[in-house]
Amino acid sequence: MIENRRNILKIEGIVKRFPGVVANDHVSFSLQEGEIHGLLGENGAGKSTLMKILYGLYAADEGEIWMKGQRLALNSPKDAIQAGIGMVHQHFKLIPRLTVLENIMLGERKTEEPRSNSRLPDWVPFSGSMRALMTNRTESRERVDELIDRYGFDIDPSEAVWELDVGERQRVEILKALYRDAEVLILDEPTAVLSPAESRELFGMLQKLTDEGLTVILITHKLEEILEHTDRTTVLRNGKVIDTVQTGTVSKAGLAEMMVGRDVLFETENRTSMVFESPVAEVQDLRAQDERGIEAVSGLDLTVHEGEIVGVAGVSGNGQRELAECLVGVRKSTAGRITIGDRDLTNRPPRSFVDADVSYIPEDRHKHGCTPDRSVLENAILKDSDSFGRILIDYDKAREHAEQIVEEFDVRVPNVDTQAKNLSGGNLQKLICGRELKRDPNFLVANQPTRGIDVGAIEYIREVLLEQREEGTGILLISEDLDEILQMSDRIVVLYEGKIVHETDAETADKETIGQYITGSKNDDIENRDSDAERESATDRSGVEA
Amino acid sequence: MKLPNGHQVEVSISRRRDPSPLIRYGIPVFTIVSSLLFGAVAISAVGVNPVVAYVTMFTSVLSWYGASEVVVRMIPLLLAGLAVYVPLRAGLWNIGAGAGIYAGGITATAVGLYVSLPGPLLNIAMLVSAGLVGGALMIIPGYLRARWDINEILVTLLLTFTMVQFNGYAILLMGSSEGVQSSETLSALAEFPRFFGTRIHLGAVVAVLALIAVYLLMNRTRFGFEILNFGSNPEAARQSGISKYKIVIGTLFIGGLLSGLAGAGEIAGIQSRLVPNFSPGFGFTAIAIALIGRNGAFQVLFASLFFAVVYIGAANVELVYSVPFAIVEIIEAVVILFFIAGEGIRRFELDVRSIPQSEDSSEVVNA
Repeated sequence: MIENRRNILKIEGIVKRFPGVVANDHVSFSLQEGEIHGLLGENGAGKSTLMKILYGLYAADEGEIWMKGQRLALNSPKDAIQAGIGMVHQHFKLIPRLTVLENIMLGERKTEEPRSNSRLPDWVPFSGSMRALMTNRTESRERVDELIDRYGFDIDPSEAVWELDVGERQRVEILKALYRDAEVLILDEPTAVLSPAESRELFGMLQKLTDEGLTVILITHKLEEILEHTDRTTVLRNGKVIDTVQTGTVSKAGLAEMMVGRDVLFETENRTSMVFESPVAEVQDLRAQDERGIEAVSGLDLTVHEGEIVGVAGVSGNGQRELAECLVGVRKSTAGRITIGDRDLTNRPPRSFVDADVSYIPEDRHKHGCTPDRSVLENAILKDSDSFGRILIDYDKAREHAEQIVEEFDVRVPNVDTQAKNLSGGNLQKLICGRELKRDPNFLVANQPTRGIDVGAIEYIREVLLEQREEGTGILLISEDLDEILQMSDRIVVLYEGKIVHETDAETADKETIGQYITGSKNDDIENRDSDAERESATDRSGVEA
Repeated sequence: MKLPNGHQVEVSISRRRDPSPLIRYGIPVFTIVSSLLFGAVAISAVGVNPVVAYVTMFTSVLSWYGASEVVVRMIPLLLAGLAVYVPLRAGLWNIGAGAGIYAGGITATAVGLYVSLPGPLLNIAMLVSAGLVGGALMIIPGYLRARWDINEILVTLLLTFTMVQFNGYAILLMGSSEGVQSSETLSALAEFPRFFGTRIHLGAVVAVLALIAVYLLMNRTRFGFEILNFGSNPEAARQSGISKYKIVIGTLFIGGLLSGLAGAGEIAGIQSRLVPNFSPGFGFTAIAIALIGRNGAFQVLFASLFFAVVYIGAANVELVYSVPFAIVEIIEAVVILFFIAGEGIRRFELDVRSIPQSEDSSEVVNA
């Protein structure tokens, strides 16, 4: 299928270090003209960093980028655009009040010779954009119309962007890149915001564009998209290129393995097959929507018992956040029941959950876990301020409590009056863990408790969670890190598209199998299996049978 | 951006992690000094030497009378400043201290005219009812914000205009006779007592008590703790079980209450009857006061002192040099503008570098 295609872009030995991590570790691969090249990897594998380097947003510490035999110096997105690299970000960069045409013109390349009506010198800020808006509209309009016709875009250039839906806005972004003569188009998780129908439409369009010679980099962690829509795929893991493969030569399971890693399973300490009796949290037929009003949790049943860790495996975006938020009262469910202990707390406010001894380690510790301008002391007592006095707070007692947390949970701060925002990720997470665990909860929801923190803190937090289990706390551990799930859990459920598609004991759990459930290539959910012909065909293609 | 000599100018703006003390304490000073400098431009524009005008402005308040007038002016400014300050700490903008002032003034007048109580009880009843009505009024924007996320800036601002009009109507209702632009005059019993033979009235005591109460609220009570943490991150606060309704409605209620007290003081302490526009922009000056003093209740006190001095001083300057009193409004507006600019400096750092570049930049290797 791909013969004699010439390399259009070559990335060689890119290294990018951030304090404490190597985000890209000698990454090399090349793009062939007219291909759709998948870039596959888990969150944090280094995909976004690499693409930001390619788009001139970050400078690489080492390495070279060559386009059509010419070495590129990419200091800003402007350079990337000049070189013919376009990018469609996950969050669109459009101005809602302007029309499609105006949005496209705003990004116009500097015209070589100044037009008569626009003698703006270069040093004027935004001179490029201003000049673009001053140029003759009809000319631009003609070009946009032509592009729309050629690729069948179905967009009215005179419509204001705020009137467009998400799929249309994405098409405007693509159109914008094409208008700037992009030869290589980077799409960052383009289907994350789209419905299945819109996704199909998008891939149809990409096919048409690549037939015309455009080269596409598709960043994703969805294996179906890789299998169905790419020509070749480069897999990244921990900042390194694992391999670049021809699509079709590697099965879905194979790709999943490359993505997640072949690491030997961590031996779980043998807990003599325990019998869990009293449930601390029960969820029945729970349904909930995300911010956009799309159903994210679709009829979910789950029970967590005293002294048990239930691991929720899955790629994020499959309803994890919504599930966690429902379980602590932060999000309203649309249907179903949540029972904590023996009380029905469905759609009760967060306070009721806090009072029922539910603790929560949120996914985003900065956005949801702490009050950044306030002190460590205040953050330490945020959830239990009432136990330091109903009306007046006994700050001496609170200070003692905070200092205890800081010491017990190894939070490294000069003193408890430090503002929370000055803590490193790991220290902040330890502080949050301390706050949530020190109150000895009956039920703990931990959403990605170890993501993005240093190795030492990761180990520490895992230990603390295991200790807490011994204290009798029922823990729901949500994580994208399959190793973590396998290492920590007594029971494992796999969340896929808002449903539990698989449940297993940690004893009998097998990483490969869970990997397949995570990506949706296997599904125990009966209703789903019967009706979903697409998935069956996907299973066939990957050559794996249940 | 490229310079003629081939140098590339690189401008980068990044978040300042830990603002130095110089920046933190320098910004309020910078704000005040630069607004005075701007005011100087305006003063020169009307043909007066700004140095002379400023000297007059600040020395005229040094007399016994001038100082007492500063205190008199501080009463509404401090109360209104605190009325903006409390919601501000919860991340809410109360632009409607003026509305509370009018509500309080109207209520105090009504109670003073139509309720008969012995001695000091009448004054207390006037204050309490003025505070409660002011607070009740602010429940409207509070509930709208908490329940439907309707912007409290707009609602409180519009309430100010509503209350200005309602004040006119209230004057008609409580008017003495046809054609007089004020209500009936309060009895001597209803008027607030004055001290030391000056115009300093009972409101000063109320303002000091309010200042101490707000300080304790923020630094000692659990509600204050919740306000501060909600202000820092509403999401995290909510997840910790802090009720959004309690904070949003509660802080705006307190704001309304404090401005209601300010209104009562102006009517019963100064005017002795309800008059139109008895709050000449106090509600808006309060915003500037709360911004400068937003780090603590006592900083609000100093900010209100500054503005009281400017107010009284400017009145004297107007008298002596006929510099329009509008100079106060200029200084006030510039304070707010400079404060916002200062905020930018506090939160971000700007780094401008010039990098030499060869002519053919496309061949330059950038590792």
